[in-house]
Amino acid sequence: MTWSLALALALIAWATLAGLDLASVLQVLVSRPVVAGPVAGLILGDPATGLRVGVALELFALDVVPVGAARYPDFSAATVGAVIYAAGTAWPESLGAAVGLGLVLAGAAGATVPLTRRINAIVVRAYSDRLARGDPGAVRAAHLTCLGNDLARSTILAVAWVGLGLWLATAGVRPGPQVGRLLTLTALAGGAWAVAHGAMASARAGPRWRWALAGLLVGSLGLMVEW
Amino acid sequence: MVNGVARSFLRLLVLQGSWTYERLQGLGMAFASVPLLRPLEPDPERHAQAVARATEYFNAHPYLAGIAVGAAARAEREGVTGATIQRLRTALSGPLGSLGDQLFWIGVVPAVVGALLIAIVAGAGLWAVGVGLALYLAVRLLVTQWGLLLGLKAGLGVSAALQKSGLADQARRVGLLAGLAVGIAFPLVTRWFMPAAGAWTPWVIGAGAAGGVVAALVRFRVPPARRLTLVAMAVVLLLSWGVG
Repeated sequence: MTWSLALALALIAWATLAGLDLASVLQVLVSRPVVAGPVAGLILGDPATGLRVGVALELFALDVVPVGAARYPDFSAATVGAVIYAAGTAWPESLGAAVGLGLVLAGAAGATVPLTRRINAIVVRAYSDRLARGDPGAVRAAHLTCLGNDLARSTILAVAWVGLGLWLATAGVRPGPQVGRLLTLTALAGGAWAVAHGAMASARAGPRWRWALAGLLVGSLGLMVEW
Repeated sequence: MVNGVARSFLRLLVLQGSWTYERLQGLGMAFASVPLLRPLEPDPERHAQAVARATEYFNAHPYLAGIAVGAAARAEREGVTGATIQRLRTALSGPLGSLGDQLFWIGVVPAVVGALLIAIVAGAGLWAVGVGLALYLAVRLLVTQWGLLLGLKAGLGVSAALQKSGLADQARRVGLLAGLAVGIAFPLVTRWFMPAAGAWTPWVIGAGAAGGVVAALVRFRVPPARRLTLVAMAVVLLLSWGVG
């Protein structure tokens, strides 16, 4: 893979956008691995790796419900870093290591969300007198400052995780083929655990598990027809 | 007024940008409410009280928060008392949160992601990602607009209007679809990853899935799959290092 400043900047920009999507801006699917990964792969010129890493990390993301004040991992820039690390390699040997890297980075990035919210609280407290007086200018200033905090958080993470992925890829920090395959198998088993746990945890109370089971049968039948 | 609604709609898309543990979405709600409270500006005291009220503690699902923003703004403009508006916000906060979580985080998102996974492993690749993202974005924008207009139209009667909208039934149906989509996707994704370790792959993935089901059913707390996977990977690396 040939690296350039423009390529690195494009990846940082994409990872930053994905990070903002997590909670502050829009909250559509941009921060999900299944979107962040393939687009990172497209930017890198290796969409297939982006899809593989994105789908594998998405299995873990399906076990996360980002409600209210809950702490959850931030897969956005982490997925981009993992795709950079795996790009241009044989996926059966590199997928597991890339997923492991993605999980570590997503967990670390998730810890920055409550930190940003605490910084936001300091900003809001600084405006509290004006807010109590009903000053619309203070509402605007405080909100935009907090949005700026999340932009800073997302940018710092994007630079760090893109840089780390790039460094690991160019330094050739990779397991051997056999260990790489074992790691991939471990990652897939873990992903299956996550999907099954997520599906069961949200389905226990209602008929949803029956629909999931029906889907499982339909998918399995589809495979039999294919074979 | 139309301009105020459009500005409020755009601001609702960044509602959670100022989320804090003290006011939760309160400041974001005020940010989205300010354009709707403009008609009160000729009466500075009333306007200031309305803006100050909007900044107070509030939490709901971000896609449905517009319902509360619209309803509270309508009530403010109609001169409803501050205490009643505060009660309205409190009454809407919980239901809009749990309904939105059921409908979107546990319903639409896994349904769309499940469909995306099916399309990707079926060979649609990046097209599937683009189309899925565009459709989801459209749903997000339409729901936000619908919620804001519903709140503005219904005012204090928003709870009845929300009930009449049938959103709770939709949440149940979408939840079933999500189960179906993820269920169909699972074996197909397994097949897609088969080349990783040949014939062993489905057995290992099956064992992982069984572990996940058991972990969801047992009463004691099991660490999340993310952590368990990293521990297993560390063991693999340590063992291979020892053997090497």
